Amino acid sequence: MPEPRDDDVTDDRSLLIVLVETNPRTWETSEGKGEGTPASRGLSSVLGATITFLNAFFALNQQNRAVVVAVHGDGCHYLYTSPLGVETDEDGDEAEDARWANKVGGLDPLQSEAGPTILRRLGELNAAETGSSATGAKRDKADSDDGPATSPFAGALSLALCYCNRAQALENAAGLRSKPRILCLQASQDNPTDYIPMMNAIFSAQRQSIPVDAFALGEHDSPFMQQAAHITRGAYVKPTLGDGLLQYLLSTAVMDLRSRAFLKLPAARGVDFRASCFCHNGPSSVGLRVLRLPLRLLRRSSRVRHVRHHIRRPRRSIIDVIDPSSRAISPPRPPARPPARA
Amino acid sequence: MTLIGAEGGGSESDSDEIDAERAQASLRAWEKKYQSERAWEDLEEDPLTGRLRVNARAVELRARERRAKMASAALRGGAAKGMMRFAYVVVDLSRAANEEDFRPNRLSVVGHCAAAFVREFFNQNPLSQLGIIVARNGVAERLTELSGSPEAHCAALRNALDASGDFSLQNTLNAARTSLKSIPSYGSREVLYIMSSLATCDPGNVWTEIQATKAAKVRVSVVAVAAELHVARRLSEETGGTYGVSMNADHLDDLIMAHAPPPPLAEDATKSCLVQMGFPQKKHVSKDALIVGTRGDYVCPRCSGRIDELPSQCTVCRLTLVSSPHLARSYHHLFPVPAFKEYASRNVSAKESGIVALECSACLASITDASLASECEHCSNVFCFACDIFIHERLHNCPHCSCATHVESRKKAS
Amino acid sequence: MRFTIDDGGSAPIEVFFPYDSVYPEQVAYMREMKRALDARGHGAVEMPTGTGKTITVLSMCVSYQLAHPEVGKIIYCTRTVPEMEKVLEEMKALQAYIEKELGAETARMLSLGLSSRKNMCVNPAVADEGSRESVDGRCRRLTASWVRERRLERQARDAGRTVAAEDGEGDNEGGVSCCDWFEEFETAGEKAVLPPGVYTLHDLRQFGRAKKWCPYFLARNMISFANVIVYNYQYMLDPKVASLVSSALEKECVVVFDEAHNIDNVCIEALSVNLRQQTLENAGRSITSLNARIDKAKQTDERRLRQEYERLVNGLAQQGVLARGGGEDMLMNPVIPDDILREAVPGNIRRAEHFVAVLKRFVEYLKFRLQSTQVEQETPTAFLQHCAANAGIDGKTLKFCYDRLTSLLKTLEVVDMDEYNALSLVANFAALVGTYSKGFALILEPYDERYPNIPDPVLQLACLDASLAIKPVFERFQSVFITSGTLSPIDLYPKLLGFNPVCAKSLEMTLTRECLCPMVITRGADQQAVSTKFDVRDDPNVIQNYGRILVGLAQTVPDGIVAFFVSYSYMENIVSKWHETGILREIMQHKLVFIETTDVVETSLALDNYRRACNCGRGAIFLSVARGKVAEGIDFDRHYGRAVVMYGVPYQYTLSRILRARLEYLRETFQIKESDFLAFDAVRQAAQCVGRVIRSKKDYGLMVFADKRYNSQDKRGKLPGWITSHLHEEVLNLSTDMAMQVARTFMRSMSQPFSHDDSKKSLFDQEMLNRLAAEGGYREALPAQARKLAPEIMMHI
Repeated sequence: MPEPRDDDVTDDRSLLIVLVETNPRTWETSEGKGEGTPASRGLSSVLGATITFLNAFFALNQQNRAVVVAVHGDGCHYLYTSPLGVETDEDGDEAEDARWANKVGGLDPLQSEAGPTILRRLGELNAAETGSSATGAKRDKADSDDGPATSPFAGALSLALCYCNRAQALENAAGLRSKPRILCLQASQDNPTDYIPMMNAIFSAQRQSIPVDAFALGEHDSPFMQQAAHITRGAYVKPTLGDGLLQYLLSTAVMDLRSRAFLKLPAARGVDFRASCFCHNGPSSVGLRVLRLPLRLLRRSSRVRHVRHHIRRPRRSIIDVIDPSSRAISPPRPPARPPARA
Repeated sequence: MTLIGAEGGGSESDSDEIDAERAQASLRAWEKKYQSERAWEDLEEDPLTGRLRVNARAVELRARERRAKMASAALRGGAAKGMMRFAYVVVDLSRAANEEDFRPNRLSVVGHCAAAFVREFFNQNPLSQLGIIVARNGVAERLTELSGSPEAHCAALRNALDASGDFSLQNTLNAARTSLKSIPSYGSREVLYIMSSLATCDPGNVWTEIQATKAAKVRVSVVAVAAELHVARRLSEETGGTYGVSMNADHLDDLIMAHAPPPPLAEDATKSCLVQMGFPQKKHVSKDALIVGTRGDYVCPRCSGRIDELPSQCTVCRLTLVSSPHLARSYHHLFPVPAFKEYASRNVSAKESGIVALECSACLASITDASLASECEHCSNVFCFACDIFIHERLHNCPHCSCATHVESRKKAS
Repeated sequence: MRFTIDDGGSAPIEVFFPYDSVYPEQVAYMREMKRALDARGHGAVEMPTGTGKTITVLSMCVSYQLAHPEVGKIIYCTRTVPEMEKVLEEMKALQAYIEKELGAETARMLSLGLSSRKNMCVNPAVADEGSRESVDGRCRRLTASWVRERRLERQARDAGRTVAAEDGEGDNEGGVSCCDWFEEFETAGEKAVLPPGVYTLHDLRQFGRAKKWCPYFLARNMISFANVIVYNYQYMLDPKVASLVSSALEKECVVVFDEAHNIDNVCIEALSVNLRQQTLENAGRSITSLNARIDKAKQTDERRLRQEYERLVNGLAQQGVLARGGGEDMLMNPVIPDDILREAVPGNIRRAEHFVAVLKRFVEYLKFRLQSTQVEQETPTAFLQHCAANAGIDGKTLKFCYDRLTSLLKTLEVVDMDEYNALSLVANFAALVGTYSKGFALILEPYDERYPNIPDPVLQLACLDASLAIKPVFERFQSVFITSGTLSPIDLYPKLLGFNPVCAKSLEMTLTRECLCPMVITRGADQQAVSTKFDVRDDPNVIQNYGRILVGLAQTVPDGIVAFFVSYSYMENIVSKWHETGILREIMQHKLVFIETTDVVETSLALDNYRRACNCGRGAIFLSVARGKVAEGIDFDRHYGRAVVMYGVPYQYTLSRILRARLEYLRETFQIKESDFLAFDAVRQAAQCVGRVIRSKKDYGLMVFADKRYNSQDKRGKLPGWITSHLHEEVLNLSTDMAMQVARTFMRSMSQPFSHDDSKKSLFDQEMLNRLAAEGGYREALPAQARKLAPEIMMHI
């Protein structure tokens, strides 16, 4: 069970996993993207910035490797994965030379593939999306009229972590060591029902000592991403200048972990440490906690029946955090199902 | 005289060389069975990189048992668990700990396991407290009091590692019990013994102490390094704890680690009560802000006083303050990921062919051995064995399910 | 559960088994028994302890009884009272089950235990007597027929208000009291019967108290009505007792000797007599007192003596020795009933005084013999000749001594036998030596071999042939079973006991896990061989290595360890050596040490403390001796014995003349080689010792044979099958350090939790049995079920 170790960042070849939100529902609407935020510039600009950023990242170290995951409406999809280190080590010098010979702008051909691949794959995705008959469209419509759009970042993080796990396993077997890290580009708002998966993902990232850099592209802060960045010692950035996204990326996320120690990352302005409420899926700051029943927080103002209801079924393990002022903070939502089914 | 001869008759009858070769044979047999603590035969050369690695058969064996474990863990999921644990770890540093049946000796192995356990314990039970008692020279020294910082414990333990004298069950038990008496009623009291000794030297009758412990609702679990000691087993049975004996160092580690996740609660062990607590936000203060009292980063949600670190109590309104991540750490005990189905078992074709061109839906690794692949029951995605383990033991999310739920939740919401 | 045993032979038997699962070996056992019962023959079956021998035997026999009413009683012979109680407890369970299945009236069975007065008497005045003899004597004093007659006439006299002068006997009987319980019992007469059921000794006592009937005599009466009788070997084997108790039993009975691995010794002891100086002195004294009585009798009532004389003229046959239904069971002839000549007592001892004179001469003669300074050994015939020549007493006379004495004592109405014990011993000797010319040896040792300068002359009449005492049993009863945990080699016992069994099998236990781990340590860590052979046993290296073994075990094995030595002297010797070399101290660091002594009280105290030490986790080691009380009787199950060490091969004291004589006899009569017999005897003792630690299948234990001789096939092969099957190659010929490795691994693996469903494969439950039965009987099923079950182990000797 590896402890979080920060000292063993000896090797500066790094694996970067980019989670970019490509959820059409997010991008088709303009709500939740204030003025001047990167989000307001649209997906294409974000993608553009990302790809440029990736090229820069590759240019830094020809052994750098990257994975791009599209956080889509219906799930997450790998857009691009550069071959893992082990194989490249195996092929001999002449292959090496060949690669050096036909470099394009200092980029390994495999790496220069990245941009095109991403765009192609994304195209395919959207095709499939729209191709998936009227139902898809209908669902989109149906969805669009409930609250701001959200995307499954928890799932995306989990996916990324699995990949890191594999990568690390392979490289340990090969005696190499790479420090993976994760970059999230989130435009939509958090989905409070994701709270538990999100937290789980964050903690396992922490245990593997994989920093998570988070960019909130929309106008709202993203508490989850704040916490993720805070817990995993990553950077949380909320760009104010829409056009400057690339700049932000380059100045924050491009550096490998060791060099990072010498950089001054944008200080987190504050972290919203509020748990999320299970009855109202809203963040809450003060709660009642039932001990001895597993772990449960009940809002003071929540109806007594409600409390009894929970206490009477001690075996059901739910965590309820409901805070008195939740109305002020989050728009009222219809009460959701018990998340145990989640 | 014939009788003397007759008496030694056996040794006369079989001649020396027969003896010799039989001796050789049995020696070989013995070595085969008992000298293979280092399992060389499990190793094979990795075709990809010329390095040694554990061969497939061994992997598969381990795979099976790991999976069994996960399944049982998933089963145990829903039960009520003690989140507020007050536990003492009793490390046996008696003479027996110097024995060298582990490499390099029990002492270091046990020490390492204990330290690892302490860290893991706080990983999994952030709100709990833990203390260390050392049994040495027949007495019990309380190395560290109940507290919440893993590093302090580990450091203390590291400095205390040297073994001598006898082990006393009664004294250690008494020390633990007396200090656990004072903890709040909602916390669950536990003691974990890591025992190398095979005997206990007690000043009085150990059974009276055991009864007292039972009465005090302290749950005592024992992990024995060497062999089963009657009184220890009875102790754990009496107090509703578990008892385990290690086969080797790894097994010892597993046994100890098994106590890190919170145990299912006995109905009467603790009583439920409501505790109000707040989740402060972290806000930086500008250098020139004028603040009376502590200038911490955290802001109490009720009185918006400032607090240095979490978890703690608000200096102004005495509200118990925790950060939601602290709570969140223990969520996965409450919602474990259901164990995956074995993939091969469901697809006959895959079974027959044995090798199928599969790709792990999580890490894109190509799955060579279909029998090891598994499949999530909800989202019916296929995972490689590594991911299966990783998901159940570390991540506690099924990546695709969490996407799916996301979608489905939105559907529900609409 | 109910299931049918069908061995393809005669009609299948439905067996009632009170538990809902049965071990395969138990089924196998039942099949063996059935074969023997069907063939009306005898059997010898070996089955390891902890596999429920007792209940198997009981349920099989009782079921057989139910199926074949013509089969008579079941007589279950045990060695000790606790074993007896255990058997009866099992019987209770079985009874209850059968009643549940068949209804109370169909299964009306009476089962009871029988033991000595000491264990059964409810009369506080008597029961408080310390020793067994004194209780018997006291009881006789109260219940002997003439005592009671006298009391009756006394009462009559008292009624007549005439205070008569007490006669002598009246005085020294200390007033004529009586035992109310016995009187009540007598008056109840025919109506004094036990209702059907199972009666342990305790139950009997309670019943007796309730009804105010004497439980002892009640039990003895009820024997003839009982279905199951549980009592001690003696009652079956020792002619003196057997003729009293077991004479009434019919031929069709089924006799079972449990824990019969030492039965040959029991038989031999039953027919052996030792005469020491002391005995003869006492004999002399009692003769004089006898004279006195005779004279008194002459004065008081000549009549009685005359009657007796008449009786004797007409010969013993007509003499109703046992008549007069009183509580006096006097001395019974030590000779097997059939060997008693049915003829008149020779004239020269018909008259009381003559007889006494003869006795006197005989005792004198024996004293004279004891004076000799060198060892003498001769056959009975030689002895008789010598005796006739020097003392002028011929064999015939001697042969009748015993009965003559009996009748004399009767006539003189002597009740306190204990003062005539010595004399009766002499008479006993006389009768035996007079009767048997073969299978006996007379050995005179002027001093004990071990202490040659202390004169302690002893004249031993040693029975050499175990079959003599047990022959009548085999002849009388239609099936006799001897069974034990260790009967290997199974074919030797029939030879020794002179019978040919229908079934001789050695069954193994089917284990769910390798819960017993025997190993042979042949050398110490320094590679020097360890052994208790005479030439090396005092070698300091050997002693050192032996010590190391114990030290190693003490720090590897938790809780209790038992160590057996070959003899007390060796144990004392080695322990003192350990003390000097500091090994003992080293051991004490890990465990407390307790030692068995010859003193029973001390030993039991030590045992008690040993158990306490094991219970509270301190751990302890018990040093004991093979062939000792502990080795035979005490169980070290569960944490009381996690490991047992057998130091050396426990040979008998090979220089003892008796043993030599017996060996010769065996060689001549049964063609059993000396070395083989010795090895067999030694190994069975060893097996007994190590068998102490496993008492059930859930138990586990380490068995260490610490002697290089165990490595040789002829020793190992003689171990019972359930041990040899675990003596794999890798645990043979170990050095101490290797052994410790084995021990460590074993202890670890045994401590692992083992789920109950594993034990299914060694357990048949109801439906499984039905399935097996459907598949065509267990003959096929069993080997499939447990392949290594029941191999015939044939050691050719």
